[in-house]
Amino acid sequence: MNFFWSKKTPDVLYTVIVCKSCSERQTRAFADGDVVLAEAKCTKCAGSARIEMIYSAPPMQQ
Amino acid sequence: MCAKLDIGEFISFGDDDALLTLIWILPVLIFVLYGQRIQLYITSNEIKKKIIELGQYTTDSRNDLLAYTKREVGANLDEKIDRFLEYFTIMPVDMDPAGMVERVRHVIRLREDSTRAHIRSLAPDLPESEIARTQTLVEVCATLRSLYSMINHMFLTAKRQKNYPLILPLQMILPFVMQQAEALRSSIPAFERCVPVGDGIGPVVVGSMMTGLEKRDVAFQTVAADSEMEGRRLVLVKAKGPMPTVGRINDALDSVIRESKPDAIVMVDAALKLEGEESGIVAHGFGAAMGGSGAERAEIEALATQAQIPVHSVIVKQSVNDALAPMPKAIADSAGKAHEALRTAILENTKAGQLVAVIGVGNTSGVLQ
Repeated sequence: MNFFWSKKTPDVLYTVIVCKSCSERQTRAFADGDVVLAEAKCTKCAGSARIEMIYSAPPMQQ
Repeated sequence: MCAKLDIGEFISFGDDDALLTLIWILPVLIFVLYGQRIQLYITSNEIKKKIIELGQYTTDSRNDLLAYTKREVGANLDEKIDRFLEYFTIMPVDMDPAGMVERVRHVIRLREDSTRAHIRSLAPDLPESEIARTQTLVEVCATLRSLYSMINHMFLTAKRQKNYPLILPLQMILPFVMQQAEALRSSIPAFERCVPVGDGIGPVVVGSMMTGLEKRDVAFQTVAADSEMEGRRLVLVKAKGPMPTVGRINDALDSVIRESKPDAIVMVDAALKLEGEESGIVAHGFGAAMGGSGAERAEIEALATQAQIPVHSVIVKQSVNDALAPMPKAIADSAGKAHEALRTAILENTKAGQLVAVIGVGNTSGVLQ
Protein backbone atom coordinates (compact mmCIF):
# COMPACT_ATOMS: atom_id res chain seq x y z
CA MET A 1 0.00 0.00 0.00
CA ASN A 2 1.32 3.46 -0.90
CA PHE A 3 0.99 6.32 1.54
CA PHE A 4 1.42 9.93 0.57
CA TRP A 5 4.63 10.13 2.57
CA SER A 6 6.15 6.99 1.08
CA LYS A 7 8.80 7.55 -1.59
CA LYS A 8 7.95 6.52 -5.16
CA THR A 9 10.08 3.62 -6.34
CA PRO A 10 12.08 4.68 -9.41
CA ASP A 11 10.97 3.10 -12.67
CA VAL A 12 13.09 0.41 -14.26
CA LEU A 13 13.83 -0.02 -17.97
CA TYR A 14 12.70 -3.20 -19.72
CA THR A 15 13.50 -4.58 -23.16
CA VAL A 16 10.90 -6.64 -25.00
CA ILE A 17 12.29 -9.17 -27.48
CA VAL A 18 10.11 -11.07 -29.95
CA CYS A 19 11.42 -14.13 -31.79
CA LYS A 20 10.80 -14.16 -35.54
CA SER A 21 10.61 -17.95 -35.74
CA CYS A 22 8.93 -19.20 -32.53
CA SER A 23 7.12 -15.91 -31.67
CA GLU A 24 8.41 -16.17 -28.10
CA ARG A 25 8.00 -12.85 -26.32
CA GLN A 26 10.59 -12.21 -23.65
CA THR A 27 10.85 -9.21 -21.34
CA ARG A 28 14.16 -8.62 -19.63
CA ALA A 29 15.99 -5.76 -17.91
CA PHE A 30 17.36 -3.16 -20.32
CA ALA A 31 21.06 -3.43 -21.11
CA ASP A 32 23.19 -0.60 -22.53
CA GLY A 33 23.28 -0.94 -26.30
CA ASP A 34 19.70 -2.19 -26.63
CA VAL A 35 17.82 -0.26 -29.31
CA VAL A 36 14.30 -0.72 -30.63
CA LEU A 37 14.12 -2.76 -33.90
CA ALA A 38 17.68 -4.10 -33.45
CA GLU A 39 18.43 -7.77 -34.06
CA ALA A 40 18.67 -10.05 -31.01
CA LYS A 41 18.82 -13.75 -30.26
CA CYS A 42 15.89 -15.81 -28.98
CA THR A 43 16.73 -17.47 -25.66
CA LYS A 44 14.22 -20.26 -26.31
CA CYS A 45 15.03 -21.45 -29.86
CA ALA A 46 18.27 -19.48 -30.46
CA GLY A 47 16.63 -18.13 -33.60
CA SER A 48 16.67 -14.58 -34.89
CA ALA A 49 14.68 -12.16 -32.77
CA ARG A 50 14.04 -8.43 -32.72
CA ILE A 51 13.87 -5.86 -29.93
CA GLU A 52 10.26 -4.78 -30.23
CA MET A 53 10.13 -2.19 -27.49
CA ILE A 54 12.01 -0.57 -24.63
CA TYR A 55 9.91 0.98 -21.89
CA SER A 56 10.08 2.17 -18.31
CA ALA A 57 7.77 0.80 -15.64
CA PRO A 58 7.72 0.30 -11.87
CA PRO A 59 9.88 -2.70 -10.84
CA MET A 60 6.98 -5.07 -10.18
CA GLN A 61 4.90 -4.18 -13.26
CA GLN A 62 5.85 -6.10 -16.40
CA MET B 1 -37.12 54.98 14.66
CA CYS B 2 -33.51 54.20 14.18
CA ALA B 3 -31.26 53.65 17.21
CA LYS B 4 -28.06 55.63 17.26
CA LEU B 5 -25.06 53.40 16.53
CA ASP B 6 -22.44 53.61 19.21
CA ILE B 7 -19.16 52.77 17.48
CA GLY B 8 -17.29 52.58 20.76
CA GLU B 9 -19.75 50.02 22.09
CA PHE B 10 -19.68 48.08 18.85
CA ILE B 11 -15.95 47.57 18.71
CA SER B 12 -15.43 47.04 22.42
CA PHE B 13 -18.02 44.26 22.76
CA GLY B 14 -20.01 46.06 25.38
CA ASP B 15 -17.46 46.65 28.07
CA ASP B 16 -14.72 49.20 27.99
CA ASP B 17 -12.12 46.52 27.59
CA ALA B 18 -9.26 48.32 25.89
CA LEU B 19 -7.12 45.20 25.61
CA LEU B 20 -9.80 43.30 23.69
CA THR B 21 -10.27 46.25 21.38
CA LEU B 22 -6.56 46.36 20.76
CA ILE B 23 -6.43 42.62 20.00
CA TRP B 24 -9.30 43.05 17.57
CA ILE B 25 -8.07 46.13 15.83
CA LEU B 26 -4.31 45.54 15.71
CA PRO B 27 -4.36 42.66 13.21
CA VAL B 28 -6.78 44.64 11.05
CA LEU B 29 -4.36 47.55 11.01
CA ILE B 30 -1.41 45.26 10.33
CA PHE B 31 -3.19 43.59 7.42
CA VAL B 32 -4.36 46.91 6.01
CA LEU B 33 -0.92 48.46 6.17
CA TYR B 34 1.34 45.46 5.60
CA GLY B 35 -0.99 42.89 3.93
CA GLN B 36 0.79 42.95 0.61
CA ARG B 37 4.19 42.61 2.25
CA ILE B 38 3.01 39.62 4.30
CA GLN B 39 1.60 38.01 1.15
CA LEU B 40 4.85 38.81 -0.66
CA TYR B 41 6.83 37.19 2.16
CA ILE B 42 4.74 34.01 2.21
CA THR B 43 4.58 33.68 -1.59
CA SER B 44 8.26 34.44 -2.08
CA ASN B 45 9.20 31.74 0.43
CA GLU B 46 7.22 29.18 -1.57
CA ILE B 47 8.71 30.41 -4.84
CA LYS B 48 12.22 30.41 -3.38
CA LYS B 49 11.92 26.70 -2.56
CA LYS B 50 10.95 25.97 -6.16
CA ILE B 51 13.79 28.15 -7.51
CA ILE B 52 16.29 26.24 -5.33
CA GLU B 53 14.88 23.02 -6.79
CA LEU B 54 15.20 24.45 -10.31
CA GLY B 55 18.77 25.54 -9.56
CA GLN B 56 19.53 22.01 -8.37
CA TYR B 57 18.20 20.57 -11.65
CA THR B 58 20.46 22.98 -13.56
CA THR B 59 23.53 22.04 -11.51
CA ASP B 60 22.81 18.29 -11.65
CA SER B 61 22.23 18.33 -15.39
CA ARG B 62 25.48 20.26 -15.95
CA ASN B 63 27.40 17.78 -13.79
CA ASP B 64 25.83 14.86 -15.69
CA LEU B 65 26.83 16.46 -18.99
CA LEU B 66 30.41 17.06 -17.84
CA ALA B 67 30.68 13.49 -16.55
CA TYR B 68 29.28 12.22 -19.84
CA THR B 69 31.76 14.21 -21.96
CA LYS B 70 34.66 13.12 -19.74
CA ARG B 71 33.59 9.51 -20.14
CA GLU B 72 32.75 9.53 -23.86
CA VAL B 73 35.03 12.21 -25.29
CA GLY B 74 37.83 11.50 -22.84
CA ALA B 75 38.82 15.08 -22.16
CA ASN B 76 38.21 17.76 -19.57
CA LEU B 77 35.91 20.15 -21.39
CA ASP B 78 34.33 21.92 -18.40
CA GLU B 79 35.20 25.43 -19.59
CA LYS B 80 34.14 24.84 -23.17
CA ILE B 81 30.89 23.10 -22.19
CA ASP B 82 30.08 26.01 -19.87
CA ARG B 83 30.53 28.35 -22.82
CA PHE B 84 28.06 26.26 -24.87
CA LEU B 85 25.57 26.46 -22.03
CA GLU B 86 25.81 30.24 -22.03
CA TYR B 87 24.79 30.48 -25.71
CA PHE B 88 21.64 32.48 -26.21
CA THR B 89 19.31 32.78 -29.17
CA ILE B 90 17.76 36.09 -30.19
CA MET B 91 14.53 35.29 -31.94
CA PRO B 92 13.76 37.46 -34.99
CA VAL B 93 11.79 40.69 -34.65
CA ASP B 94 8.07 39.99 -35.17
CA MET B 95 6.92 43.58 -35.81
CA ASP B 96 6.86 42.67 -39.49
CA PRO B 97 5.63 39.04 -39.59
CA ALA B 98 6.39 38.63 -43.31
CA GLY B 99 9.03 35.93 -43.76
CA MET B 100 8.99 35.13 -40.04
CA VAL B 101 9.09 31.34 -40.58
CA GLU B 102 12.25 31.54 -42.70
CA ARG B 103 13.91 33.88 -40.21
CA VAL B 104 13.07 31.66 -37.21
CA ARG B 105 14.30 28.58 -39.07
CA HIS B 106 17.48 30.39 -40.06
CA VAL B 107 18.28 31.36 -36.46
CA ILE B 108 17.46 27.91 -35.05
CA ARG B 109 19.53 26.12 -37.70
CA LEU B 110 22.41 28.50 -37.14
CA ARG B 111 22.39 27.60 -33.46
CA GLU B 112 22.12 23.86 -34.17
CA ASP B 113 24.85 23.89 -36.83
CA SER B 114 27.21 26.03 -34.74
CA THR B 115 26.81 23.87 -31.62
CA ARG B 116 27.41 20.73 -33.69
CA ALA B 117 30.48 22.24 -35.35
CA HIS B 118 31.90 23.29 -31.96
CA ILE B 119 31.34 19.83 -30.47
CA ARG B 120 33.01 18.29 -33.53
CA SER B 121 35.96 20.65 -33.15
CA LEU B 122 36.43 19.47 -29.54
CA ALA B 123 36.54 15.84 -30.58
CA PRO B 124 37.09 15.43 -34.34
CA ASP B 125 37.02 11.60 -34.14
CA LEU B 126 33.65 11.44 -32.43
CA PRO B 127 31.06 9.59 -34.57
CA GLU B 128 27.94 11.44 -35.72
CA SER B 129 25.73 9.55 -33.26
CA GLU B 130 27.88 10.68 -30.31
CA ILE B 131 27.88 14.27 -31.57
CA ALA B 132 24.07 14.18 -31.81
CA ARG B 133 23.87 12.76 -28.29
CA THR B 134 26.20 15.39 -26.83
CA GLN B 135 24.38 18.14 -28.71
CA THR B 136 21.00 16.99 -27.35
CA LEU B 137 22.40 16.93 -23.81
CA VAL B 138 23.87 20.43 -24.29
CA GLU B 139 20.49 21.71 -25.52
CA VAL B 140 18.67 20.16 -22.53
CA CYS B 141 21.15 21.69 -20.05
CA ALA B 142 21.03 25.09 -21.80
CA THR B 143 17.21 25.08 -21.70
CA LEU B 144 17.24 24.25 -17.98
CA ARG B 145 19.74 27.01 -17.36
CA SER B 146 17.71 29.59 -19.28
CA LEU B 147 14.54 28.56 -17.38
CA TYR B 148 16.38 29.01 -14.08
CA SER B 149 17.83 32.39 -15.10
CA MET B 150 14.46 33.71 -16.29
CA ILE B 151 12.53 32.61 -13.17
CA ASN B 152 15.27 33.80 -10.82
CA HIS B 153 15.34 37.18 -12.56
CA MET B 154 11.55 37.61 -12.20
CA PHE B 155 11.71 36.59 -8.55
CA LEU B 156 14.59 38.87 -7.60
CA THR B 157 13.05 41.82 -9.45
CA ALA B 158 9.74 41.44 -7.59
CA LYS B 159 11.56 41.03 -4.28
CA ARG B 160 13.84 44.01 -4.77
CA GLN B 161 10.93 46.24 -5.74
CA LYS B 162 8.87 44.76 -2.85
CA ASN B 163 6.11 44.59 -5.45
CA TYR B 164 3.50 41.92 -4.73
CA PRO B 165 1.65 42.20 -8.09
CA LEU B 166 4.96 41.51 -9.88
CA ILE B 167 5.27 38.15 -8.15
CA LEU B 168 1.75 37.00 -9.13
CA PRO B 169 2.53 36.09 -12.76
CA LEU B 170 5.56 34.16 -11.49
CA GLN B 171 3.40 32.26 -9.01
CA MET B 172 1.00 31.40 -11.84
CA ILE B 173 3.58 30.15 -14.36
CA LEU B 174 5.90 28.40 -11.89
CA PRO B 175 4.02 25.04 -11.74
CA PHE B 176 4.16 24.78 -15.54
CA VAL B 177 7.83 25.77 -15.65
CA MET B 178 8.62 23.19 -12.94
CA GLN B 179 6.75 20.52 -14.89
CA GLN B 180 8.84 21.32 -17.96
CA ALA B 181 12.05 21.42 -15.89
CA GLU B 182 11.31 18.03 -14.29
CA ALA B 183 10.66 16.58 -17.75
CA LEU B 184 13.95 17.98 -19.07
CA ARG B 185 15.82 16.68 -16.03
CA SER B 186 14.39 13.18 -16.48
CA SER B 187 15.33 13.21 -20.18
CA ILE B 188 19.09 13.38 -19.46
CA PRO B 189 19.58 9.73 -18.40
CA ALA B 190 17.39 8.68 -21.35
CA PHE B 191 19.48 10.55 -23.93
CA GLU B 192 22.73 9.52 -22.23
CA ARG B 193 21.84 5.84 -22.51
CA CYS B 194 20.12 6.25 -25.90
CA VAL B 195 16.78 5.01 -24.57
CA PRO B 196 13.53 5.75 -26.45
CA VAL B 197 11.51 8.62 -24.97
CA GLY B 198 7.74 9.09 -25.12
CA ASP B 199 8.14 11.53 -28.02
CA GLY B 200 9.72 8.69 -30.01
CA ILE B 201 6.45 6.84 -30.56
CA GLY B 202 6.15 8.25 -34.14
CA PRO B 203 9.63 6.96 -35.13
CA VAL B 204 8.84 3.59 -33.43
CA VAL B 205 5.66 3.11 -35.52
CA VAL B 206 7.19 4.22 -38.84
CA GLY B 207 10.57 2.60 -38.07
CA SER B 208 8.87 -0.79 -37.59
CA MET B 209 7.37 -0.40 -41.09
CA MET B 210 10.87 0.29 -42.47
CA THR B 211 12.61 -2.85 -41.17
CA GLY B 212 14.10 -4.97 -43.93
CA LEU B 213 13.59 -2.23 -46.54
CA GLU B 214 16.32 -0.35 -48.34
CA LYS B 215 16.80 3.05 -46.68
CA ARG B 216 18.12 6.23 -48.29
CA ASP B 217 19.15 9.57 -46.79
CA VAL B 218 16.62 12.21 -47.87
CA ALA B 219 17.69 15.11 -45.66
CA PHE B 220 20.09 15.83 -42.82
CA GLN B 221 19.78 12.98 -40.24
CA THR B 222 16.57 11.85 -41.96
CA VAL B 223 15.93 8.61 -43.86
CA ALA B 224 13.23 7.34 -46.21
CA ALA B 225 12.19 3.94 -47.55
CA ASP B 226 9.66 2.80 -50.15
CA SER B 227 6.96 0.35 -49.15
CA GLU B 228 3.50 -0.83 -50.13
CA MET B 229 0.16 -1.26 -48.34
CA GLU B 230 -2.85 -2.86 -50.05
CA GLY B 231 -2.02 -1.37 -53.45
CA ARG B 232 -0.90 2.03 -52.11
CA ARG B 233 2.72 3.04 -52.56
CA LEU B 234 4.23 4.39 -49.38
CA VAL B 235 7.24 6.65 -48.81
CA LEU B 236 8.20 6.16 -45.16
CA VAL B 237 10.17 8.99 -43.56
CA LYS B 238 11.70 9.28 -40.09
CA ALA B 239 14.74 10.75 -38.32
CA LYS B 240 17.83 8.54 -38.56
CA GLY B 241 18.12 6.44 -35.41
CA PRO B 242 19.22 5.36 -32.94
CA MET B 243 20.93 8.68 -32.18
CA PRO B 244 18.79 11.26 -30.41
CA THR B 245 17.67 13.50 -33.25
CA VAL B 246 14.43 14.75 -34.75
CA GLY B 247 15.97 14.99 -38.23
CA ARG B 248 14.79 17.56 -40.75
CA ILE B 249 11.34 16.35 -41.66
CA ASN B 250 10.39 19.47 -43.65
CA ASP B 251 13.46 19.15 -45.89
CA ALA B 252 12.71 15.44 -46.31
CA LEU B 253 9.11 16.15 -47.32
CA ASP B 254 10.28 18.81 -49.77
CA SER B 255 12.62 16.24 -51.30
CA VAL B 256 9.85 13.60 -51.46
CA ILE B 257 7.45 16.05 -53.16
CA ARG B 258 10.13 17.03 -55.69
CA GLU B 259 10.75 13.34 -56.52
CA SER B 260 7.09 12.41 -56.92
CA LYS B 261 4.11 14.30 -55.56
CA PRO B 262 2.29 12.19 -52.94
CA ASP B 263 -1.53 12.03 -52.96
CA ALA B 264 -1.66 12.25 -49.17
CA ILE B 265 0.59 12.86 -46.19
CA VAL B 266 0.02 10.97 -42.94
CA MET B 267 2.04 12.03 -39.89
CA VAL B 268 2.45 10.08 -36.65
CA ASP B 269 3.52 12.03 -33.60
CA ALA B 270 3.21 12.34 -29.85
CA ALA B 271 0.87 15.12 -28.70
CA LEU B 272 0.23 16.69 -25.34
CA LYS B 273 -2.77 15.21 -23.56
CA LEU B 274 -5.31 17.36 -21.81
CA GLU B 275 -5.68 17.14 -18.03
CA GLY B 276 -7.93 14.19 -17.20
CA GLU B 277 -7.01 12.24 -20.33
CA GLU B 278 -5.12 8.96 -20.11
CA SER B 279 -1.59 8.66 -21.50
CA GLY B 280 -1.39 6.54 -24.63
CA ILE B 281 -4.75 7.45 -26.17
CA VAL B 282 -4.51 7.30 -29.97
CA ALA B 283 -6.47 9.81 -32.06
CA HIS B 284 -6.78 10.58 -35.77
CA GLY B 285 -7.06 14.16 -37.00
CA PHE B 286 -6.25 16.60 -39.75
CA GLY B 287 -3.31 18.95 -40.25
CA ALA B 288 0.39 18.60 -39.56
CA ALA B 289 1.19 17.07 -36.19
CA MET B 290 4.53 18.47 -35.11
CA GLY B 291 5.91 20.34 -32.12
CA GLY B 292 9.05 22.43 -31.88
CA SER B 293 9.43 26.09 -32.79
CA GLY B 294 6.62 25.97 -35.35
CA ALA B 295 8.91 26.88 -38.26
CA GLU B 296 9.12 23.28 -39.53
CA ARG B 297 5.35 22.76 -39.18
CA ALA B 298 4.69 26.00 -41.04
CA GLU B 299 6.92 24.83 -43.87
CA ILE B 300 5.17 21.44 -44.07
CA GLU B 301 1.80 23.24 -44.15
CA ALA B 302 3.07 25.55 -46.89
CA LEU B 303 4.41 22.62 -48.96
CA ALA B 304 1.14 20.68 -48.58
CA THR B 305 -1.01 23.71 -49.38
CA GLN B 306 1.06 24.65 -52.41
CA ALA B 307 0.85 21.10 -53.81
CA GLN B 308 -2.77 20.63 -52.62
CA ILE B 309 -1.92 17.49 -50.64
CA PRO B 310 -4.25 16.50 -47.78
CA VAL B 311 -2.47 16.08 -44.44
CA HIS B 312 -3.73 13.55 -41.88
CA SER B 313 -2.31 12.93 -38.44
CA VAL B 314 -2.28 10.12 -35.94
CA ILE B 315 -1.35 11.27 -32.47
CA VAL B 316 -0.49 9.43 -29.27
CA LYS B 317 -1.45 11.56 -26.29
CA GLN B 318 0.96 11.98 -23.38
CA SER B 319 2.13 14.47 -20.76
CA VAL B 320 5.26 16.65 -21.03
CA ASN B 321 7.01 14.32 -18.59
CA ASP B 322 6.10 11.22 -20.62
CA ALA B 323 7.32 12.89 -23.83
CA LEU B 324 10.85 13.52 -22.54
CA ALA B 325 11.33 10.72 -20.01
CA PRO B 326 12.15 7.11 -20.98
CA MET B 327 9.07 5.80 -22.81
CA PRO B 328 6.47 4.74 -20.23
CA LYS B 329 4.74 1.37 -20.65
CA ALA B 330 1.38 3.04 -21.43
CA ILE B 331 2.92 4.80 -24.44
CA ALA B 332 4.87 1.71 -25.55
CA ASP B 333 1.66 -0.35 -25.40
CA SER B 334 -0.09 2.16 -27.66
CA ALA B 335 2.34 1.50 -30.57
CA GLY B 336 0.09 -1.30 -31.91
CA LYS B 337 -3.02 0.92 -31.73
CA ALA B 338 -1.12 3.79 -33.40
CA HIS B 339 -0.04 1.43 -36.19
CA GLU B 340 -3.64 0.30 -36.68
CA ALA B 341 -4.85 3.94 -36.70
CA LEU B 342 -2.17 4.79 -39.27
CA ARG B 343 -3.27 1.89 -41.45
CA THR B 344 -6.91 3.00 -41.21
CA ALA B 345 -5.98 6.61 -42.04
CA ILE B 346 -4.08 5.46 -45.14
CA LEU B 347 -6.73 3.02 -46.39
CA GLU B 348 -9.71 5.31 -45.74
CA ASN B 349 -8.19 8.41 -47.30
CA THR B 350 -6.41 7.04 -50.36
CA LYS B 351 -7.17 4.71 -53.26
CA ALA B 352 -5.13 1.80 -54.61
CA GLY B 353 -2.27 3.01 -56.82
CA GLN B 354 -1.87 6.31 -54.99
CA LEU B 355 1.32 7.48 -53.31
CA VAL B 356 1.29 8.26 -49.57
CA ALA B 357 4.06 9.97 -47.57
CA VAL B 358 4.08 8.47 -44.06
CA ILE B 359 6.11 10.50 -41.60
CA GLY B 360 7.16 9.43 -38.10
CA VAL B 361 7.72 12.68 -36.22
CA GLY B 362 9.68 12.89 -32.98
CA ASN B 363 13.00 12.17 -31.34
CA THR B 364 14.33 8.84 -32.55
CA SER B 365 16.62 8.20 -29.56
CA GLY B 366 17.12 4.43 -29.19
CA VAL B 367 14.97 3.59 -32.23
CA LEU B 368 16.42 2.04 -35.37
CA GLN B 369 14.68 1.76 -38.74
